[in-house]
Amino acid sequence: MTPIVDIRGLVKSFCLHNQGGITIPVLRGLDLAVNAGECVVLSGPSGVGKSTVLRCIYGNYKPQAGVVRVRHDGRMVDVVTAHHRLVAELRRRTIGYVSQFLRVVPRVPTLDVVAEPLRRTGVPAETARARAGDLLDRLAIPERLWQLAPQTFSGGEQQRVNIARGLAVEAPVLLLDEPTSALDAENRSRIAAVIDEAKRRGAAVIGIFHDQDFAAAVGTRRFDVAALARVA
Amino acid sequence: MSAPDADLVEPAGRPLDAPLLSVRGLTKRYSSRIACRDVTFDLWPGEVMAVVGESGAGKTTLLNCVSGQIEPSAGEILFTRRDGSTADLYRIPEPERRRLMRTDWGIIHQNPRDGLRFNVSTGGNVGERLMAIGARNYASIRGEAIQWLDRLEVDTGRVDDLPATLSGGMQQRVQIARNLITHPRLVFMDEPTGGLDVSVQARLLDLLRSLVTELHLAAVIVTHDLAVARLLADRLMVMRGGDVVELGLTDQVLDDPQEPYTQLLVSSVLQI
Repeated sequence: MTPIVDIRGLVKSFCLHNQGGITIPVLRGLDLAVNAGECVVLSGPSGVGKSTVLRCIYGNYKPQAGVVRVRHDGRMVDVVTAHHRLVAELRRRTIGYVSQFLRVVPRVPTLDVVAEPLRRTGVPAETARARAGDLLDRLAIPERLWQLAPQTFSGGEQQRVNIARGLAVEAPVLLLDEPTSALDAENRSRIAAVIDEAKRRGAAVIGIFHDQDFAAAVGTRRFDVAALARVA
Repeated sequence: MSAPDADLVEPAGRPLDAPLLSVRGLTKRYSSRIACRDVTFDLWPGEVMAVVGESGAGKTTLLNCVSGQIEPSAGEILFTRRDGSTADLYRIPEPERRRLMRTDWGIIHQNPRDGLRFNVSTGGNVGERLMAIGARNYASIRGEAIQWLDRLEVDTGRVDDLPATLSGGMQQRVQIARNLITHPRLVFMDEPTGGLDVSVQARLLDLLRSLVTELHLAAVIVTHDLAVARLLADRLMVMRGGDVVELGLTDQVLDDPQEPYTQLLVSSVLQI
């Protein structure tokens, strides 16, 4: 079986030029392959490089070495060396990324915030809004809030809006960076349900979840970044 | 686990299509001072690039050279015409350059006073570019101007009012409508939200973002505001002292800056 995400020998360090030029090594030759329908839970202590792995896949971190291949339109694309236009296309259609914090234009209604990624794939406004409404409904964001901007929402509500936005396009790869940190048990189970649904449709999911029970419920496999990242 | 089939692997670094704009080795000197030095970049249809840097970095000079307003001292600016052929901006005949600037390009200035004619009505300002490319039917020009004012969320009842009677945010929208009426493919903006109140700025940012998506506009935006760049731009160019320090995907440059100056710039932004 060909993996959807195939990482080989990933090396990532950070050089802090304005703090004495010190270099902080984070990933030292990480290998990870993820198949369709899997949900790999990245584990390890804080600062070990879990988010770094996700950001290297999404292309907002530049690794020093290694390849990060992602299946896009039936072929494998190396995010590290791909032209920026192709990376943009990957992000539009192939990789869904839910960051820890919602970062969007202020004062835009929630429904449009969630519909926007779909609009960018060419879906007509009304179809995109209908799908956005459907997702918000499933994540228990009441309809009376849809026309309001999410900046005024509670942390838990913002987090669910962020997840809805990340899931709006049914991308084959789903990267989740602590999507449930501010949620109560009931809302966590709603998130678990949409993640399970993504797995069933064949998405490759890679996530960081601090809640151990949640990780056990949605994860099909655990990947210890600490143990494997630091192999010299 | 089997390795991916070798011939299914995308060749590294190949773009998907041809760029709309190619800037090669652009340098602008003012007597002994160099305002921008050896700038090279490509811009694709529908792509937004932000240029950031402190005052005096050469951002506005670069914008003025690339948009046909100031002739560079060296380098070439290649623009792909609608028929697919290439025009070298400062080597094509002056009339053609002026026609491109009036039809295929839009230039939005920070100060609406630089981009609007204040002794002409709002509707006249918006319709002017249509007349400049030969439209003569007054009713249809006025109709189209009203449509664009409406799209930019300017009260169409103000079509006969002078720009000075509008607020700064509305003047900026009129300036954008004036540029978009000829369906340009490339828009240059110099601090488009610079002089506006924060609340007005947010709404205008959203409007710019949806226009860029819907009209498949390419844009070069000069700003000193990294937050504006993050929200609007696909790519980010960092300039300092006339040089390009770093160029990459906006979130890559902001989240994983490679150069000392970019790291300093990013780490100096106040968190809110």
